[in-house]
Amino acid sequence: MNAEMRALLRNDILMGLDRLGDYEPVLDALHLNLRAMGHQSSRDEVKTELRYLMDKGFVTTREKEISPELTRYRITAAGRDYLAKEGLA
Amino acid sequence: MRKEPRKDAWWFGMPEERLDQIYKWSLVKPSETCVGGVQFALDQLAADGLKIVDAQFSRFRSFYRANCFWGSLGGLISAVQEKMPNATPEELAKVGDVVMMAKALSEENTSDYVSVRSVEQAERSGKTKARQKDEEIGLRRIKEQRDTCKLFLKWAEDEKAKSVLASGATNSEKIEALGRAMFPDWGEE
Repeated sequence: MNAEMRALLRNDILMGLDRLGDYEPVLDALHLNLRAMGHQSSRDEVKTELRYLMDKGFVTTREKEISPELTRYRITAAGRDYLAKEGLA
Repeated sequence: MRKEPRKDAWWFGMPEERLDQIYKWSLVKPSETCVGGVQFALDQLAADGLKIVDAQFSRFRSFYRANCFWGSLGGLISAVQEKMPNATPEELAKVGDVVMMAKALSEENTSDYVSVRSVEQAERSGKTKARQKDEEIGLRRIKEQRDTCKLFLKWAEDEKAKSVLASGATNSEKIEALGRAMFPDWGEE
């Protein structure tokens, strides 16, 4: 995945979390829909980008202590600010 | 208060109808009287006093397609969740998962969105033949997205879904029934 495609993937993840409203997807649901959009990224790659966005403060989680695979992701206010700054809000 | 976007996000603040119109311009087929495609869209925008270059238009198309994809999905999730007013947040989340999976599976093997972006990259590196393919893919993509949404909404309104949603079952049982109705392998590990 080149830098431009990675940037596109990150933007698409953030736009997805923003447009899904109150619903907070699990990794698998997010990954499958990114695939449906045409991203060829693996589940692990999407997870890596989610971690990157979390490190940036753009995404946060609601983690299940005993079922981490059911962790749900949501966009933060900083993530929404980023989308607005990029004209993607 | 909303922050000002970067300067090349020229579409920011435009109403949806305007965005639809601009995107449709880029899908116009070339003919003897019309240059068609992105150039046609750029010409129309220029006539409206907005001078945009190819790369800026490419950003707009990425935004527009993602906005349509996620926007329609968010709308579907809300529409189904509204049919379950007494559901708990956990149950609503699970309904959202079902809709997400349905959308992803219904669009499997039609993965053109990002390949369009790859084509756009190729265009910028001088492979102009890709442009026509881009337009064809774009048209097909819009039709597929609309068809998928229509099919899902029809499904959500049909008797099977209605009978599940109107039954006296608990919300957990409704979710299970909806999942079984939509996915043959629902619940199989």
